[in-house]
Amino acid sequence: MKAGVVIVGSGLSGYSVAKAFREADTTTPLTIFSSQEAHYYSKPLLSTALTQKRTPEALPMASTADMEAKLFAKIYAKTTVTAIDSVNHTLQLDTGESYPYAQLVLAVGANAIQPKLQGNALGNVHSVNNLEAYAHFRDTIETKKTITILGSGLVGCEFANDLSNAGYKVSVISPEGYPLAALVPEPIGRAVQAALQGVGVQWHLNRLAVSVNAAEGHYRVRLADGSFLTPEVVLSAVGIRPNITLAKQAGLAINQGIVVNEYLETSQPHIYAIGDCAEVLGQVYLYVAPLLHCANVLGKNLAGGRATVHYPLMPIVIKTPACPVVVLPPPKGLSVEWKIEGDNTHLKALCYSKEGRLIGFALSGQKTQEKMQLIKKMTECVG
Amino acid sequence: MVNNRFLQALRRQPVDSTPLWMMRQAGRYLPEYRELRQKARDFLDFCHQPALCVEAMLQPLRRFDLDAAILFSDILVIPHAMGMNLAFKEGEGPVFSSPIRTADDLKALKTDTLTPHLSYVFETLDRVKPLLQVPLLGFAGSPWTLATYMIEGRSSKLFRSIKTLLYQKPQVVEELLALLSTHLMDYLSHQIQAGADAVMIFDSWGGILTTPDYHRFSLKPMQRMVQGLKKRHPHTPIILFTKGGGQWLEAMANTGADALSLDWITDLAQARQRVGHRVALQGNLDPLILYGSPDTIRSHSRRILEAYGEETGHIFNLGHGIDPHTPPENVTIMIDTVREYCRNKRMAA
Repeated sequence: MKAGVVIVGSGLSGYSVAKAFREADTTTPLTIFSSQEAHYYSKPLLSTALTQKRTPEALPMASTADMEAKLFAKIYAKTTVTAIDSVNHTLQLDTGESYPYAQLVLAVGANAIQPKLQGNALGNVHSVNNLEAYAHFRDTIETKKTITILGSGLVGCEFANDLSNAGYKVSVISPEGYPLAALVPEPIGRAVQAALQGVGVQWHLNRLAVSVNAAEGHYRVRLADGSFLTPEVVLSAVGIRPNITLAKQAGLAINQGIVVNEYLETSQPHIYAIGDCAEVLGQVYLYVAPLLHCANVLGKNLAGGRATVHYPLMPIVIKTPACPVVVLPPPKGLSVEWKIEGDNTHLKALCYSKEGRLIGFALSGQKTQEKMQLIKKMTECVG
Repeated sequence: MVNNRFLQALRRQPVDSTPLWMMRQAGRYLPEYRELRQKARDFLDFCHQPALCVEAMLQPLRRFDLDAAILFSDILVIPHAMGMNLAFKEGEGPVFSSPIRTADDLKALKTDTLTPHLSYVFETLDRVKPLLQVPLLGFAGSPWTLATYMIEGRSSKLFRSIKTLLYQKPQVVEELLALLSTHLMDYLSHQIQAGADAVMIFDSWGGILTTPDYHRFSLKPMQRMVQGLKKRHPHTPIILFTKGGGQWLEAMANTGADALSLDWITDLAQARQRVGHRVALQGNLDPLILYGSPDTIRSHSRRILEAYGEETGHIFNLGHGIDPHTPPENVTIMIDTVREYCRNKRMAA
């Protein structure tokens, strides 16, 4: 067997690299391994599917077979890569076989962080980090009415909005003082809080869930202040963390994620990493825009190029229809000043550096329409 | 839950064997409890530690064939949470350093929600619940009983302080009772959310009152609690217990409670006739009978089962908490007698 390009992972990263590679090279063998069904879908769609009235079955944009045909690739679904032998350029599979690679791409994504909870029902807490987990979640909630979400970040807020839209009684528990606290300044978080409250979401902010136990027909979620919520379903959205298991075992350099340079090369020759699992130039981005940019770079490099990552400005869109938000977070670690204008749900928050340079923004409600205008302005500033 | 007899009987449904538990079944008469107790500074410190309370609750269930677990706590955690300084002194029992004597003392009490100060109680229930094969019973003192401790400052025989206040300034006592009934209702509601399958209100001192005063100062605030709880938790059984309250059973049954607990002075067969089938009945064995000979224990246990008769809705229990010096093996004799009696009844039928 002639060794070619092998991609581990069939999420948005894996398939985006595959597509970009095939645009530059249509002859080298291409293989994709996926530990799940390898249907092509976009994870961000999961947290808006109910509002869009889409079933889990309707979410894939293409089946595994379609993708094989489109990419001239061999795709192994439900096959897990258990180890990398970087000396002999082979992968170990859970089937017991080994598989050669000339160039290897790790697009293994991120794993849901387990909430730190006591109690006997932790195993029944849902976390939705892929299509199969989402299908299971949808199956569970079909006959239920009340859902408690742990976490008030992007995913927690999007699910809170989506589930409320579909008629569920949603409560959110979060140790943060306001929703989206890691992403936006407080007034914008408060606007989201009020808007979601308007569609029925009950907030339990500044609260920590400490245990979840099964009761008859519901769960008892105990909060640190001794109060309880008794939902029928618990959904954890406390965050995701780069999946580094395989890379660690292979001896690749790891920090927060798998460390790669501007060419997306790991510390071992012929092994690359991309997407939620990768730490590109010191940054782990768990969003779509950065990985699409990286996929184009890596597609070229796998075909013999030497392209480098130069991120454009990449605002994050938070799909909470009750109060949409777009945010371009300022670089971390800088002392910044936010200037906020607007009223109620329609807020524009501009972030300035000490020197008075516009370095980020957060927009809510109708102000999200100013996104392109602001990006243009910032690009001109930099240019 | 594997064994549901206790809840079945509270709902006056048929059961295979009369359910049985004991007031203070977790406590000082058990050597393993006395050992566990050493792990805490004092009794209040013990109550504040869910891990210890959970273990104390499980101890009698390991040793005896019991049909319910009861929260390990004390009725006085409520006045403590309201800001009153409470100490349990060796040989003296509970002591409040600054008892309530005036309307101004009342104003010093915390009136906002107490439950955040009682999270250790809810944590105990939440943690023990998955470990149980039997229903979990929560409890609280009655407003009147808590008021007597808060005004007397300690256990009392004459109740001179509270009765003086009652006969001089009844409105001060009523104000305190209203405050307590609100807090206690919320407290029991939280216990139910934390996993309690049923709750019991202990009115240890209602029996010291005249009949009109019992209605006004003891029963009325309890009735308010029962009605409030039934609104929030319509399916959770509530047990009322006024020690020395045998003459008021009809009025207690009218509160909407699901079951009444009887002291040993009340005649069980008569009580059954008086309340009809509106409520289940629990209790009635003089706890000091457990100091008697095995034959005495057996004959009194059978007497109670016979007095209740064939009807549904009976829960075997003591007429008061088990005495701290009771030999545990005598408890086994009592339980074996009840089980054997029920087994024979079943075989005969």
